[in-house]
Amino acid sequence: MTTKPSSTHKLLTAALVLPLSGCDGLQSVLQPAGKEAAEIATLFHVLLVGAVVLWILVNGIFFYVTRLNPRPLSRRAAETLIIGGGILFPTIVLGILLAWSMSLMSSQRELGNAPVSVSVTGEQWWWRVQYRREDGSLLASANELRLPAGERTEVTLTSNKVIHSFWVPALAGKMDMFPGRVTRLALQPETTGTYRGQCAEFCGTSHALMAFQVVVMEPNDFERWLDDQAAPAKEPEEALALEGRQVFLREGCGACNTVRGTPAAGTTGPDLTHVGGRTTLGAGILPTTPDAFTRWIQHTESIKPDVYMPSYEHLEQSVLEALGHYLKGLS
Amino acid sequence: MKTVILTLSAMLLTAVLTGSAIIFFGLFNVSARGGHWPVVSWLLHTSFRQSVALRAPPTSTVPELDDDDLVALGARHYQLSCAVCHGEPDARQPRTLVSMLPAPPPIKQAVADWEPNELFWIIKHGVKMTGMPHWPARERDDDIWPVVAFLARLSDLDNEQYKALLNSDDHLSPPASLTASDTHPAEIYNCTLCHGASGTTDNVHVPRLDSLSQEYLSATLKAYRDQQRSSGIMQHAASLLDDETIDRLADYYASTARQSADVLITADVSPSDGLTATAASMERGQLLATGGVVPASSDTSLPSGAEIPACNACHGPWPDPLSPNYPALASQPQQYLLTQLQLWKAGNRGGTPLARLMHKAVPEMQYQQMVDLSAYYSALSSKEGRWGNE
Repeated sequence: MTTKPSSTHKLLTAALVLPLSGCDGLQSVLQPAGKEAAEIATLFHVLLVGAVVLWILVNGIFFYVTRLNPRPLSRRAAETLIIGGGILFPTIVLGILLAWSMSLMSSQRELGNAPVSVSVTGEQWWWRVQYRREDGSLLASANELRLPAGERTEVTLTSNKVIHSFWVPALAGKMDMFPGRVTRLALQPETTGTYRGQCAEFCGTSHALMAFQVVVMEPNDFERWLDDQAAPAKEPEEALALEGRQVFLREGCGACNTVRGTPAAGTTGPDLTHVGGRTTLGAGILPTTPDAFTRWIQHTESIKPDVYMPSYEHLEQSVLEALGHYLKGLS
Repeated sequence: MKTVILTLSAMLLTAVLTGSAIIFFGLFNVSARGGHWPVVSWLLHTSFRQSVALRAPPTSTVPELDDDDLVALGARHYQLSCAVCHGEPDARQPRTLVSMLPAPPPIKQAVADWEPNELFWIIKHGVKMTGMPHWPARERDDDIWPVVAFLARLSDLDNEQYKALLNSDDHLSPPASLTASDTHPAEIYNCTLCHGASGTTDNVHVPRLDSLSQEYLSATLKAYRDQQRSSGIMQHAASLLDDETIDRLADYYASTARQSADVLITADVSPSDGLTATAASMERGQLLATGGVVPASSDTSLPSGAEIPACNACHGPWPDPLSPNYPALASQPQQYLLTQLQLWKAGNRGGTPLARLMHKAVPEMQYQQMVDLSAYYSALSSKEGRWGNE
């Protein structure tokens, strides 16, 4: 007979395991991969070490005077301890920390100077991304941010309906996104790799399902990637994908989504021209496999509650599979 | 005190016993022959009048009723569902129906003493213990006003003028393909009376059927019949249809498109219904329908439409073949489209099983945008917006 784990046991396991998931580097302030995040991490580490030292010091003194050597202090010694340790020392320490952290702010707010700038709009519940290149051309994407390593990219933020917050812990601090207002941020990632961002302001039913990936690339690779993205969608070759393309254009998908190179030019939903090449689907919640596409289109409203996109559960399985293949092929 | 209580109790007991005896021994005569006692008649009639007067909506809610299309639609629905009891104006009523208690009054007499707002209430809610039914659809007030408009004009109509009102261009010659089949003639008449034999009509409140696909027509008729789409007029017309008849009717009307397509393209289909369709409005409608965003102008009251999915991806015009489960909207009457959009937004239109898709598309739509979209689609020739790529 197997014993069922008790609920306390489960809770304990969850409490131990959950924080660990924050340590895999994808979405961790403790493993900074960008300039801002590195500065914040340094600040945090200094504060942490300082706090530990102070804690030991204060408790050490307390232990000394109450247990090891309990005797009345002279008035002079007491006054020195209170004024020195209670007023002067904290004022100096906090003053230094304040000056240091304030001095960090200007560099945290420094404008971006990379040739490409990005604007991100918070939607219900996904991220509308637009790249502006040096020549002024615009490039629409969604739910994934690609950035050149070592360059400082300007990111302007706004929102569609409610307040969201843009946060990529591995790269920088968070910044709120407001409807009708533009806020900004600059990201300077140093290490190539994939990081995770998450909406950090409760924004409705599917707030927890509003994430995105940040892919940091070598500047040359990034430029090449941008050129690829600027191209219209790949024409499918396989029969199944061709059928999927027909389904896409027949069932009204183009009302909300754009696939450049086809008549589909809707803008209320994400641009899907290169959706198959993205790392995730549905704003960071599913992999971009043909099966995931199929499942997403069939059960959108149960996978992401209250989402604007309706579930297309009335379509036949074979039709949905064709759609999935077509979309995965849009790399 | 004790005596009083005892007396009252005795009286109450007697009353209950007498009443029970009347009911349970069947002493009350429910025969309709001979009518009510005058006092009962007075009680019922006065209650009826006072109840309607109290509950009728204010006169300010009455829309413009002097509208020939509204009157014609009302007359046709009257013919299909009301005339059976109230008779055609200035015509005889069947003997059996006149033998009801109360007898349904001839229509001119029935409406003589009522104001439009009161007629509206009576049609919407019906009248208890008279045989007058309530409107079969919920939340379709706009559906009731055509009948009120017809009744409001009734005093000016003799039977001949009434008949003329029913006769649209071609509905009297039901199509051979349908009469040849074993479809019941009454069912064809139910359709052609308002929609014409070719599926086209000049009435701005009535959709044209010739631009719709077989699949959509069939699903829509089933939705009306099964009370999934709300309309007192259409739910009545479709209530007796079986699946086979529905498919045959849908087949027929879907096939009329090919016969009439040439005529339609050359016909001038600029919106001709009381609504003002300015070029600017149609242009904005086109932008909205095709997924564009109306550029911010000095008139900031106009929403941009960025929140509205592109209509044309489902409803055309669209270069690729579209699903036949979606209706093409080109050349539908502007007034009809506007009414439907308002019903969508209010959330009580209902429809085919795919209606849930549309419910996602309209919540952000403003009234002006509905006007613009209706203006645009009504001005499109039906060929441009046709489903499929024929």
